[in-house]
Amino acid sequence: MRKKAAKLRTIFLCLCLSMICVISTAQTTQRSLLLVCSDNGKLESLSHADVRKLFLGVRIFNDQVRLKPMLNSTDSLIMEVFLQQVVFMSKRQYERQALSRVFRLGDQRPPVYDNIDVLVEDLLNTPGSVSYIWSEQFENQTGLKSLGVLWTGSNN
Amino acid sequence: MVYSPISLGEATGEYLLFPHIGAIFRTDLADDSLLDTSDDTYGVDIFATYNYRNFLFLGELLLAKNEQEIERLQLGSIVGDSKVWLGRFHNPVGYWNTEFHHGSFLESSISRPSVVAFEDDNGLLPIHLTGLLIEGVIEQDEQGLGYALAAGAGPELSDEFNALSLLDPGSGSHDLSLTLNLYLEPLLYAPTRYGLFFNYTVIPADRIGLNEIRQISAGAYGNWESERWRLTGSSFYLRNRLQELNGELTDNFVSSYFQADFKPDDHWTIFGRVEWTVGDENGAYLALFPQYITDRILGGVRLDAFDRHAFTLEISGNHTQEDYFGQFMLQWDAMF
Repeated sequence: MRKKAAKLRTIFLCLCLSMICVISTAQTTQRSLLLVCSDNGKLESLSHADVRKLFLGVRIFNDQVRLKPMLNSTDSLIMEVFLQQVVFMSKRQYERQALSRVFRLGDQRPPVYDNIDVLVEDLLNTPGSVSYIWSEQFENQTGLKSLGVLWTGSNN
Repeated sequence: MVYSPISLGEATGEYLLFPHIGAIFRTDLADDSLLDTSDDTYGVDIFATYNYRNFLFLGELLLAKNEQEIERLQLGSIVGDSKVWLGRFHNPVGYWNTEFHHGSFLESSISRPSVVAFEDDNGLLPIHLTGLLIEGVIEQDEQGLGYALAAGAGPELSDEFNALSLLDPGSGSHDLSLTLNLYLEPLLYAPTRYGLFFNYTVIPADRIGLNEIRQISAGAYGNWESERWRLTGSSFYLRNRLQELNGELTDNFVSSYFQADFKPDDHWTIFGRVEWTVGDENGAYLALFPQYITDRILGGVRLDAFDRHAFTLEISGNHTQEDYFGQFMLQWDAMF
């Protein structure tokens, strides 16, 4: 009986340790995708629905300034996550849909940035510009403000 | 590095070039067929948009082997939630005609369904109108209710349809064409869409010994997309009243198509399409278009490679009213 209790205790401890390992591992890889703009801008928030529409080419104004979406493609994951989680499309579907809107409606596709410094510079210098960056990228930038968390998840 | 449309302060625009080179081979043509056993195609589709505040511009110029035409030239404005355009535009009849352009880079297949073939390619319908176009989407929670209303000058019928040409606007005789297209987007601004359309056109036809043709076309369409699949289909009911000096002839038929695209990865697309016509296939109206493909089955494969280049192979079996022939097409398309 005592042996059985000890065995159960050992199993329980192992499970607890495993849980702690899993949680700590998850915490170390947790990251957030933030919607950002210049902190000089008057924009304070934007709903997920409006973010989706904005990046699909729909005109959205804030304080009479037309918002300008900028696609961040500075790493292999960020644009995929943004498009899947916020626009609800794969990259391929999004590109096709954006091009289709150009042809049908005369819309413009958002510019795509693969250099974070250029993206931040344009965000700071273009009134109404809006983009998304990882939370750890945001911490290294000055002059930007977060308009909210678009998605939180782990790398795994 | 930035991959960007051109931007000049508040003004933005897109400038795109779509070159293509293709080869066509046909087998089993009837002895008296007007088609060649082999043919080649080449050209470039030049597309531009320009936005400045509420002012909109859209232009499409086709420079091809057999045709040089301003296909679209639209000046517009945003009024409320609608876009109001004046100019020459793609008639919003059905789905395909407004979704794709004059090249085939955006299409999986090389050919268009015959019921939406261009006027100068044995088409049956007014594909281009010159006049007024109002379009927009009404947002209903997560869904969209889209509309397009068009009123303009339609085509004239001689040996083929002739839409009003902006390069020679005084030529020919053109009458009224009206179109209404209503559709539902189950997820707002997503590609999946289901719709209904109606068109009424008066077609001057005195060059072929008729007073005019009064045509009604109406139908339904759908486009469903997932990551790997795209299913597109439409049915057109056509009623044509051919008014002669001594009376009139009326015929009705339904022409439909269904296309499935499968994309196993980012590079390959496998596609297939069936087209069929039922009703007065031997009626007076279709008799004016002896090369119109009434029934077709086709399959093909497209390879997207080298960043915006596409190589497509398409094989089809085609029925016209008097002929059945096979067709093999190869084409390179690109977008710059």
